[in-house]
Amino acid sequence: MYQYDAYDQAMVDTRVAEFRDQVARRLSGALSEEHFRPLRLLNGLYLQLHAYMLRVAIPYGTLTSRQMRTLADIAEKYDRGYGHFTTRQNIQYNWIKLEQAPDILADLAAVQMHAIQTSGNVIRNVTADHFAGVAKDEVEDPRIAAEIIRQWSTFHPEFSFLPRKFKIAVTADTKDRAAVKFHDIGIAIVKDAKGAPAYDVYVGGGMGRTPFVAPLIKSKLPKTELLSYLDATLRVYNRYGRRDNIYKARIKILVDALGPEEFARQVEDEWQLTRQEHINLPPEEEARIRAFFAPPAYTTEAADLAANMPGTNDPAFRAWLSTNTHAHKAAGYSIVTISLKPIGGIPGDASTAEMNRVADLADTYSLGEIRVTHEQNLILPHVRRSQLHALWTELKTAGLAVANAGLVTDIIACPGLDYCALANARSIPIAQRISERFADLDRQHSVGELKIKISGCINACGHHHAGHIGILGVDRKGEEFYQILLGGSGAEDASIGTILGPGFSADGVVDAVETIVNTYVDLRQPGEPFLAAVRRVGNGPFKERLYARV
Amino acid sequence: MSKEFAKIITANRLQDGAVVFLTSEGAWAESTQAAAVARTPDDETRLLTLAAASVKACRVVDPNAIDVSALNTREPARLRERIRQVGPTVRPDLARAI
Repeated sequence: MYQYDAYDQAMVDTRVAEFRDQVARRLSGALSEEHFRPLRLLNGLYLQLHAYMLRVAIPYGTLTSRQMRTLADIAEKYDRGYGHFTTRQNIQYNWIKLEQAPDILADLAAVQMHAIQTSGNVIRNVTADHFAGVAKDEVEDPRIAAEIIRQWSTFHPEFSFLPRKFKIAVTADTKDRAAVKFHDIGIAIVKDAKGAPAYDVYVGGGMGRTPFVAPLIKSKLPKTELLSYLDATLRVYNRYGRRDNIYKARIKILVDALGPEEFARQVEDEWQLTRQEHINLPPEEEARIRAFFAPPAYTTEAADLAANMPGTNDPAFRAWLSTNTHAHKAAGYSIVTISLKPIGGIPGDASTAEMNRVADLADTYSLGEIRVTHEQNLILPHVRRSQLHALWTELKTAGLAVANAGLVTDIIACPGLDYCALANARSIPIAQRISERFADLDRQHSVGELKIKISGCINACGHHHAGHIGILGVDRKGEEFYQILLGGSGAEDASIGTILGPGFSADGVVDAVETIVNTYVDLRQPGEPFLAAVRRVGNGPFKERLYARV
Repeated sequence: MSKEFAKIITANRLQDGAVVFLTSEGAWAESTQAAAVARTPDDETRLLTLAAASVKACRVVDPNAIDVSALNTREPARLRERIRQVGPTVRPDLARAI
């Protein structure tokens, strides 16, 4: 993976020193809260319900075991023994003391990490497919483009005061695991007419109060012109994006107002200027970055290539294999999902001990590498098939072998009103109770792939618009209520869920989800997944069953 | 029946972000039990003035008045404030003493 050079390290170290000074001045009274607030936000430090919250960037979701141990140490030393992996491949700590924040940033800098670009109206931490570099069918490793974009966008002076925050995601597989069409810019690496990698650029997607699936703005952009095209896109947004109304300031509103064709034309005009400005990356620099993402030396031992693997007579292991392991591009290897969704647990939370255990397992079984998914799970990307059973046995001992990846209990949930200052309702308890209702693993496997996503407010950090079943918490006269949406998808077939009908109380929403699942089981055709069934029959049969008893 | 006027002042402590409540002496306590209760709008204004002085003295940030529904326990009326008072409902092990 990418390693900082002296310039990168100096930049991050300087930023830590700068923030240390700013915090000291705030504590002494030399800086008012009004002046300090934007400075702390630029370093990922929010003030939430209970304390300061620090959001740490995990660029394109890739971590070394050493970095994971530092995240665990921070949880232990400065927080309350846990962290929360978010829906944008970041980690958040909920109980941070302002006076200790500079020390935390220094600890992060020591392992080439930071909290830059995790807040504010800037280009945020770039996300990518969590199977990057190992997905069987990907065109190329999307982290190369993501790292180039990260370096281009960090402290970019022209794009430091955008109308609103700006999120970019990159994927390189026909199967989209990065939700690229729900980003301000989504980049899909495809093959051009000659079979060379090129970029399909989607612009203007997003969730929040006005959800949009991003339209394709540029097809098969030549790889060498990525930065000039991004520059042109950001310039059009910076110039015309609305600054008068926070709710209409995202680029999706501009793209919708102009229409995708007109927006694309304006970007194209601007691009004719930017592509002359030597913004594009020199080929030798691209090669330097690419070298960091070269595939590791995989073993080709016969045991790994054999069809048989140890342990497959154990049904529990087979269940885990079927949901939590995935095809790898190297023969004899698998990608493993470590579910952070134990039954009744808090989605995305990991304790100090769990983070340290995953780091140890990554060293033993995955060449020291870990990924963080936007679905709030962890990935071991390089596991020898002959060692899967040994890994599973160790995960089981650590309570981390839940065989539910992609199933009904693999729920995305934002922190909600339990932690977040913006939330209107709690998300986590709803996720916990749905998880408990569907605890039976046989039932989960029989239901099949089903993505439930829960947000505690319209800002949609829990991606409810893109849930097969989406749940949105609202405040109705001081009571928590939950709207249910059906038919959303954050994958390559992206779609926005539609509201089923009147909302449910906190008690009623779990029953409602179960009614929806039972309705699906009754009406599905053989082998038909939940989302396909909803698309075939529409919301009608679900509404009928759901509201018949009301 | 008109609702009885009863408010307390809450804020986050600057140094560590902890949730705190204003006492009648102008100090900040972590428990609502010690909080001063404003029974009239004038009381509320007086307490908010005290809180503003604390902001200036770099002791707290974001002070605001919140409704309390039960005078003896000073229990906040809104769920959001009850969660701030006690801690996340999903982590009872981290609950604060009221």
